[in-house]
Amino acid sequence: MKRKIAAAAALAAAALTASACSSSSGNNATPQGALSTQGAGKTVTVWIMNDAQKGWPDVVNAAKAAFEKETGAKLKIEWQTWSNYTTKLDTALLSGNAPDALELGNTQTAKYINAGSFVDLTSVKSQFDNSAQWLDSLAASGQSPDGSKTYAVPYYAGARVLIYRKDLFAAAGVTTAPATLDELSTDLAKVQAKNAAVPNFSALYLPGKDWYTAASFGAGTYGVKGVIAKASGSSWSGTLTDPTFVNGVKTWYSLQKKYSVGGATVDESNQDALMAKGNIAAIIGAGWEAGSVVDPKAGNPALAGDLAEIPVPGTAAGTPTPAFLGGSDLAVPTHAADPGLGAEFLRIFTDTANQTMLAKFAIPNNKTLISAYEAASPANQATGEAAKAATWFIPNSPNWSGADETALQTAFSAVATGTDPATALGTAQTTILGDLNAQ
Amino acid sequence: MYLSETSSPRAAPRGLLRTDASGTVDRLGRHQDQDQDQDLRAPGKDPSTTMSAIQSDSRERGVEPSEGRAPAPPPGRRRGATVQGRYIPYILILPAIVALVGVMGYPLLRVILLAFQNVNSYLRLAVPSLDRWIGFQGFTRVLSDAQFWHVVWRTFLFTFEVVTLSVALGLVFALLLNRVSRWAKIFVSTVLMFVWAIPALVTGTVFRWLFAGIGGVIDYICYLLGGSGMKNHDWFANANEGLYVVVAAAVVWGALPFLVLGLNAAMTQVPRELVEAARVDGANPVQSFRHVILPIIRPFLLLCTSLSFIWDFQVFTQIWSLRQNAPEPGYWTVGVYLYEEGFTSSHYSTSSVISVAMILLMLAVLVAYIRQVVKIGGQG
Repeated sequence: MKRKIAAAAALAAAALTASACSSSSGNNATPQGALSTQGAGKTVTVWIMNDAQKGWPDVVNAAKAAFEKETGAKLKIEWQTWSNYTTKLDTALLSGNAPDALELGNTQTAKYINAGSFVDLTSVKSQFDNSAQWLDSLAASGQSPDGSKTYAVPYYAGARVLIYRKDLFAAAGVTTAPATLDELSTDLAKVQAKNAAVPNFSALYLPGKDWYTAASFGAGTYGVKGVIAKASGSSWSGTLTDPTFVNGVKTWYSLQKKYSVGGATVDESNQDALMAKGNIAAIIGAGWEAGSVVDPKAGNPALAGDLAEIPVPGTAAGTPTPAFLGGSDLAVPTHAADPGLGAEFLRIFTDTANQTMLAKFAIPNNKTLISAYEAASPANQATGEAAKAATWFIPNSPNWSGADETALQTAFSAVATGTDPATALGTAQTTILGDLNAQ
Repeated sequence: MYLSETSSPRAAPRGLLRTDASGTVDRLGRHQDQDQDQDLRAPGKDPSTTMSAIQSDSRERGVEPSEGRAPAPPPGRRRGATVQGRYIPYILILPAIVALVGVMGYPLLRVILLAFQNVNSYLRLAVPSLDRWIGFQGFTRVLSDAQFWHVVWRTFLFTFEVVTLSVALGLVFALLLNRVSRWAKIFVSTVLMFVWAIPALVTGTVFRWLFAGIGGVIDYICYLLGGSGMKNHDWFANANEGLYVVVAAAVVWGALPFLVLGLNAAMTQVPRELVEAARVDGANPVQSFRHVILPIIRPFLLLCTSLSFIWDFQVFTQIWSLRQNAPEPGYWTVGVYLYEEGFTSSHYSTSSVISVAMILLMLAVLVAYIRQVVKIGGQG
C-alpha cells in the first residue's frame, strides 16, 4: 500500500512538472512575413474551403500549377468545411500541425489576429496584386484593429440576394421585379394564391435559423452601423433590442409566417435542395446558390432558365435591404512549417489572373475587378449591387465566437415559432454582451 | 493455519466466517451468498448443492495430501507463485497502465488544473504567460450560475427517462427473443448488430430527417393515422418535445442493441429447470420473471443500468447532429453544455470546471459500477 502511494505521488509530481515545463515561451511578437520561392523537395499544405472545390476548381488548379512551377514544391490541398471550423483552427494553430496557408471566414479572423496566430504580412503586402484596391471591409477584417498591420489577405466576398422563380411569378401575373418590400409582399401573395393547391408550397422560404437574413431585415430599419452591438470605448452595448431593429425583425417574421412553410427551426443549409424540388418560389441566399439549385447532381437542371436574382428589396425603391458582407480571408499561421512558401502560394492564389477567373463566380477581393464580376452573368449583377450598397457586419471583436452565432440562431428561430421578438433577442443579447465584454 | 492460507478464498473454512448485518462474510470481506449466486450460474446446479460444491472444491484444490493427487505446495507459499512470480501480473499490466496514464491520465490532470485557472479565451490559450491561478473562483462562478443547475437538472431528467426506457425495452425484447423461433432470433440479432454499427452522428441526422417539419415520415404517418394537425408539426419548436421525445428516441434506439443482446445472453444463464419448476408450481409469466429470472440476471442488469446511466448522462453527438451543430439552450445536457462553453465559446477553464462537476455528479454511479465489476470479476 505504501509503495502504491509513493508511486502515485511520483507520477503526479512528474505530470505536474511536465505540464509546467510544457508552456511555451509566450513570445507575443509575430514573425515578419517574407515570400520564399525555395521549395525544391518540400510539400506545402494548404487548407481551402470546399466552396472552391464546388464553385471554382479551375482557379485552384491554375494557382496550384503556377505555384509548383515557380517554387518546385509540391502543393497539398486539404479541403475544409465551415461547420465547427474554428474549433479545428484553435488546436491546429497552436500545435505543430498547422498548415502553411489557410482560408477562414472574415468573421473569424479577429480572434486569431488578436492572439498573434498569424504571420505579419505588412512588409510583403505591396507584392500582392491589387493590394491598394482591396475591398475596404474585407481588408479591414484581415488587419489589426488600428489598421496598421495586415495579417490576412482578402480572398473573395459574397452578399445575399433574392433568388426567385420568374416563371412562377409570371404565371401569377407578376411581370416586373419588386422594388420595395411592400411590392414584394403583394407579389408573394399573388404567387401564394396561384399555387394554393400545391402541397407545402412556400412563396418565400425563410428558414428560422438563417440569422444573417433576419438580422439584415433588422438592419434595414436600424441602420448598418453597430448592428448587434455597438462599441463605446472598450465596452460593448447591445442594439438587438433597439425598437427600430425589432421592427425590421417583425417584418421578417410576418413574411415568414405568411409565405414560408416548415422552416422555423432549421437553418439555410439545404434550402437550395428544397428549392430544386419545385414547391418554393423564392429564397434569400448567396448568388452562387442559384447554381446549386440547377446543379445536375444536387439540384434540378430543368429549372436552369427559370431563376432570376435581385437585391433584397428594402423599404424604399433604390435602397435594398442591407446585406451582410460575408467573405473569406487567407492567412499564414505562425507555426507553419514553411511560412515563406505559404505566403508565396497566397500571393499567386490572389494575383490578377486568378482573381479574374474567380470573378466569374464570386465577388473578387479588389474594386478594379468588380466590373468583370458583374459582366459575367446577370446573377452577379444583383450580388454586385447588393455588395456596393450599404452592408452590415458583426461586432469586430476578438471575443466573437460561434456561441454568439448559435445564440442568434436560437433567438430568430424562437421568433419564427411565435416568441415575442424583443424577449427572444434580449436573451441572445445577454449572451453576446457577456462574451464581448468578458475580460 | 496452513489450511486457511493454502485453500482457495472461495473455500474459507467455516471457522473464519463472521456474520454481520449484510450477511455472512468470509475472511476477505466477501459475502458468502455471492458464492451461492456464482454456483447457480453453472447450469444444472441448485442452491441446495452449493455447500457441498464448495466443500468438494476445497478437496480438489489439493488441500488433502492423503489422497495422493496433486502434491501439496511447499508450506509458506501459495501454489504457483514464486517470489518473483508475485510481480508477474503487475509487469504484464504495466504497458496498459502506461498507455492509459499517457492517453487519459495527463489530459485528466490538465482538465483539473485548468479548472483552477482563468483560461477563458483563445488568447490565453495561445499566450500562456497571461494565465493566472484563480483558485475556486471558477467553481463559485459556475456553481452560482442558474443555467448550470438548469442543465444539470435537465440532464438528470433526460438520463432517468432514457435509462428507464432503454432498460425496460431491452428486457422486453430480450424476453421476446427467447420466445421466438431460431430463425427469427437470428434475423433480429443481425438487424440489431447493424443498428449497433451505425455511428451516433448518422443516427442523429436520420432522425432529423424522420422528424422534419416538411417531408418528414413521422409527421406523415401521424397524419395518416388521423392527426390532421400533425401535417407539418415542428417537433423541435418546443425544446422539451424535441429533447424528451426525439432525442430520447434516437438515444434509446441506439442503446437497444447492446442491452437486448446482453440481457438475452444473461438470461441464457437461467436454468431451464427453474423456470419450468416455477411454471409447474403455478407462477404466471410476470411472477416467473420477477422471482426466477430477475435475481439471476441481477448482477448483469445492475452493470448495464450503471453503464447506461454513464453513457446517457454524457449524450452529445445525437443532440449536436439533430440540431445541426447549433443546439438551442433548451437542448443542452451537460455534455453539450461543456462543449458549447469550452470549444464554441473558448471558455476552456469554465468548461473544465463543468467537466469536474460532471465527474463528481456521476461519481456515485461510477463507484456502484466499479464495485459491480469487481464483484463479478472476483467470482471467476
